[in-house]
Amino acid sequence: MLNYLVSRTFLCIVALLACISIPNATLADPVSTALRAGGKIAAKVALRDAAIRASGRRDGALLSLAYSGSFELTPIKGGHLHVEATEIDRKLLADHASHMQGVMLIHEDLLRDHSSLVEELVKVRPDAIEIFDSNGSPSSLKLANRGSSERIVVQASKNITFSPKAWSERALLQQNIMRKLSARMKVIAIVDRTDAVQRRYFETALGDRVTVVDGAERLLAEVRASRNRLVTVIGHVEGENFVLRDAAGKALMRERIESVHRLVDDANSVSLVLGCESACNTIGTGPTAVIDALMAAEAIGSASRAITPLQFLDNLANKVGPLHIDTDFYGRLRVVSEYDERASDRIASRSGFTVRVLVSKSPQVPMELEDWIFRSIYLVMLSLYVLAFLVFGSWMLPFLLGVGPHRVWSVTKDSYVDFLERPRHDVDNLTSWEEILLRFFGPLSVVVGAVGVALVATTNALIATISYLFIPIFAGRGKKLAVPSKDLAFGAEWLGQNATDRTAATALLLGGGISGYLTASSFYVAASDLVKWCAGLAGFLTVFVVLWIWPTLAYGWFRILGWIIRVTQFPLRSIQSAAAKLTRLSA
Amino acid sequence: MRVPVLNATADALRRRSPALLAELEARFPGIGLTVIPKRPLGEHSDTGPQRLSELGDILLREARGDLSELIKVLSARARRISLVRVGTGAASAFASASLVGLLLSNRSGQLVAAMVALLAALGNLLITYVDDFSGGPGSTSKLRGTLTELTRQLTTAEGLCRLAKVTDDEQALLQAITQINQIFGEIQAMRALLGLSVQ
Repeated sequence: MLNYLVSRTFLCIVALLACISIPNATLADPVSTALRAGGKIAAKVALRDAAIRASGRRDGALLSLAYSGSFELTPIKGGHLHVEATEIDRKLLADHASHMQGVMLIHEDLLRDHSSLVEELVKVRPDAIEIFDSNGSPSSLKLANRGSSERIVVQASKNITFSPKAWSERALLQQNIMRKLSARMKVIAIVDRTDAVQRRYFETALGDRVTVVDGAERLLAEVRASRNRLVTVIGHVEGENFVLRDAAGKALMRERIESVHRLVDDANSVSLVLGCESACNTIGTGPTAVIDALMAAEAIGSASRAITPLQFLDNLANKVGPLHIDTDFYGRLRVVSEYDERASDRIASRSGFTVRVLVSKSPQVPMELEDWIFRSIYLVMLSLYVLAFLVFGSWMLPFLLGVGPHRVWSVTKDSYVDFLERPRHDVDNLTSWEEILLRFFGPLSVVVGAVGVALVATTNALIATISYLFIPIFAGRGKKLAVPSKDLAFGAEWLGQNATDRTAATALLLGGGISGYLTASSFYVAASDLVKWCAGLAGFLTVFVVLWIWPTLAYGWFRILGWIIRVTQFPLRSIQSAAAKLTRLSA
Repeated sequence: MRVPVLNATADALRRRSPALLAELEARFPGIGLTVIPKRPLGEHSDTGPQRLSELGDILLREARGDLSELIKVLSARARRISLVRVGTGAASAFASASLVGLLLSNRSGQLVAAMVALLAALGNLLITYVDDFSGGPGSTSKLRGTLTELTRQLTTAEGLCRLAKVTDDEQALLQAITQINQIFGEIQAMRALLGLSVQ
């Protein structure tokens, strides 16, 4: 009776877990629908709060999206938002904006999703349109001449502007990673041997962070040797090449910029290239100012004391001129001088450019010792979690089929004795160590060593293979699951970031392999057959390894892991901060 | 007519005679003769015809003066090296002639003689290294060779300047000025190697 109750209870728990992990799209979960509606209201409240902060007690209006999907304007008076908003048709918005007084505030998401509309509004009301972020920090929107056309740019500071797309990805530039990047900055200055003054300038401004080269071989060797660094190359640019000329004007070196960039990418580094072409003058626009290498050296030296990359660029811009940040063909952030922004549309395959930073979407922040320590500790802890999960899970799994713990224990001991070919009466004569080991690992070995292990492993292999075929469909563009942030314990972010509704379904298919395994196997283990035992263990572990290392995990499994990690967060954080202190002390 | 950027000349003049550099900056704009050091990463545009013949004479005079100073410094260094070489050679000869041993005529005397010979030989090796090999391009003998070559180039540039004045050949004048700029560049590099000021 007790076994029956216990097994049914566990079946209910499993069913509940299954319900959590099944995507909303397939089951029309009323709870999640209600949560989504509640989330929208919460988002609206947050938007209004941010707008009030952004207004700074100025008069104006907030432009936002109504629940119906149309646009609405909410008046702002003295820093207070009206309760009622006026819905306006998109076609009438520009006309309405031209007649309103004060500043028009737009959330940055609206700029990202409706950039053409915002551009119209900026044309109608230049200098009166501002965007704000979720913290309520406002930034002006301007119209800037780019070649023969006008485009809107976000004026982040006096000397830095962003394109709308780059603005939505600026979080990367606002991370406090400049200290680490500066520590790993390497400046390669291409300077002729006879230019002692320029060499002295670089050495004074940058110390041992600068390497002066006067030939192509040395340049490429230094770039190759600069792994996981912020590599800054300063040199005269002509066309597509770095060109070094001697005092007589004779070209001593001509190296393609593209090859330098490729080597920087190969070295897993970030590049900042400073050069100049043809008086750095965009056709018909901009001043004819030329970037000076000595000023650039000073700028880099002083800018490297910045905390974030954006501060670094801001300090740099104060010396070398206004910088514009947009995205290139591959979607990477890049920085160009406003003096030659035209060149930023090319990726070092055509004419030269002025200043360009190519930052990948997932920058490889160099690993410091504390990172290694933490990651090692995390991997060890994760392994322990997995082991603990397997061990305790193997005690719980038999309950799914109504097999009680006494029966499992009895079968475990019998299987162990049979495996070692000992007499049956030894079951009652096990040593204390054997009992302890069996209590931990016994049921696990029973489960994986079940009869028909080869067949079940094949079943698993078949189901897993079929699942893999569907993964490109399921894992491609699934709707992101609303993973609660509390489950994103550090170290588990990489699991959660790829959790979508479709990947949950994928994992369920994979999980079907496990259940197929369990139902097809018998708990009366033919453990004496070592080959079957090993095959079963291999199959079982393969499925688990695939599940654990594949980034698209089932949300249900992920939540369990997240809960475990969250419970032990405190000691892990303590270990991390202790490791950080230790490395700082030793440095 | 493409006027070269005279960065090296400007650096040398900034060091030797800032007032003269300021005057030249005003008279010959756009050719890199600036009081504030600049290294534009872009190509500068042509500045058009200028009275470069006067510039040629001024630069020749300054280059001659700069080269002379450098020759003096290097000569002094060479003299010091020679003195040390003479000293170590004499000590070595004295020790090897066993004069010390003869004077002291005991075991200590032999020891002293051996030590003196060793030290003298080591000193000689060190001086040879300083004279010939130290820092590669920074070795005294190499620098002396470079100075000789620069002197020869300066003489050639002087001849070109004179010829250009007579024949009114702008191209030749430009070539001379470019060569002088090169000479200033080499002088700057040598001064850096010798630990002298470059700005």
